[in-house]
Amino acid sequence: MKLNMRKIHEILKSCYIPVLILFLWQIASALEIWNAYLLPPPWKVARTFWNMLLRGEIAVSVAVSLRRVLIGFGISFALAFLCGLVAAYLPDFAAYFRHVGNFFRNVPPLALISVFILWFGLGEASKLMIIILASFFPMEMNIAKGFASVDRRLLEVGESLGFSKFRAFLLISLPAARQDILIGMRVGLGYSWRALIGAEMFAAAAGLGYMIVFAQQMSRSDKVLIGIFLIGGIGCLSDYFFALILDKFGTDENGARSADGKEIENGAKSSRRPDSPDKESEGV
Amino acid sequence: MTGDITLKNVCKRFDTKRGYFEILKNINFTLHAHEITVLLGKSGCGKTTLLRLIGGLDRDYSGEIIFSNPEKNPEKTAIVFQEPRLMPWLTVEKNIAFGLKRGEIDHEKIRELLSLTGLTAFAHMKPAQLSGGMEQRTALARALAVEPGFLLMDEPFAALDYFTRASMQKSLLDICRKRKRGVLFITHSIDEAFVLGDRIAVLRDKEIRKVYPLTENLRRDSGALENLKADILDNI
Repeated sequence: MKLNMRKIHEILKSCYIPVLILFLWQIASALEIWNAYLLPPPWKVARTFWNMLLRGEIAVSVAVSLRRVLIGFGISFALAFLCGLVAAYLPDFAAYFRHVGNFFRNVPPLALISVFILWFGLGEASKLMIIILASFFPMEMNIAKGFASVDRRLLEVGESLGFSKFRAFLLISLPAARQDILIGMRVGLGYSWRALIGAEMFAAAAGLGYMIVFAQQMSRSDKVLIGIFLIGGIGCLSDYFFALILDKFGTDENGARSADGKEIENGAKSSRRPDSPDKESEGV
Repeated sequence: MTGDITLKNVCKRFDTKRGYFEILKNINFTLHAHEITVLLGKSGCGKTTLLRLIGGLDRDYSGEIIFSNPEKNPEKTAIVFQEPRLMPWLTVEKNIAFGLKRGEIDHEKIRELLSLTGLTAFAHMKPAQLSGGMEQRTALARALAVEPGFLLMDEPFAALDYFTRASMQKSLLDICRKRKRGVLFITHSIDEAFVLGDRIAVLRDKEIRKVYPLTENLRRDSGALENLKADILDNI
């Protein structure tokens, strides 16, 4: 029973602060500390959210933004993977692009939105460009680092077993670099999401960013708050999703089972290995 | 099945900023099939370099390394390194099958290797969950899985404790008897060389200084063994 309470506490730990904020917000609204126009009470925001949900407004905005992010992020990942490979395996060639890369890495994508609107118009292309620019560099750098830091000794194992270069890449380099690749993707997706909302606030007729700007123009602070909560919530969900993938595929110790199929204790955490020297001595 | 490996005038040098440094000079030596040849020498004398040349990890040398049975074993060697070098993301079972192509994987053979190396109960564990001895046995099974003509072993038991090392030495001898593999075993422990070797070759001053055959009669004669040890110590 005591253990269960501790488990429940662990799960709920991260919920205490949001509940406290909600509680303080409700009290502030009830005491009319702030004007309801500036900070609408939680129940009003919840009611508006429910109405928007029923009318399908939220589904449309979220779907439009998600579609943009997925396309932009997909293109960005493909480019970052290729460039990361070049940076890791052809550093002499990659050196030609060093200054250009450094320059664009230091320019906030939103600073380029005016130029993109001029060049690509108000359509999807300008927003995709923003997403690509925002997410490309963290992914490329992590992917390059992942491949460049593959343990040379593991590659020698492949060489000693007669692996071709492609087989060594597929069976050694790729799995060895997967943690950095996944971390790059996790960071890149977060950047994509943030950059997209910014781009939608400047130049869009649909999406969550547009929803916030439109609500602001209509003086609907409840809808602005809903937009913010949706952005934060979806961002947290995608991050959680990547954390799960990282936990499942990004570490070397997970998912191990004993020969009889039972889950065994994680070796990294185990203080005693299953076959310590005293057991080895049986063969002497 | 397996053939000899003959080294003819093998020389190896490393280029440095101040010219070059010769580590091996005119190595003429034959590694016999079905025999454990122990290469003994001090640290830095070129033992590992010689093993890397034979194993094909370094092809920048002069002279010839001839595999006498190229039709059946085209330069097929497998290396067991000083450290296990297991793929940390794979289970023991998958690490053992690592050198095999998808179509080549014979599950019966993998099971047999697991049993031979005493790892059956740990087949689904990851390297991080194994002891040093178990990791090294997995590395040995991985090398055996590709059915090499020759096993090249670079001080594989150096980092193990006394008991684990003794257990591994016994396993290696059993495996070599059962599977009839030629082995080149590098060590700088004379005692280990006596336990494992059919022949002991001493590498010193860039060349094979002396080769000592170790017969069963010699092993039984403690006085002769002591004399041999003294002679090896003089030559090493």
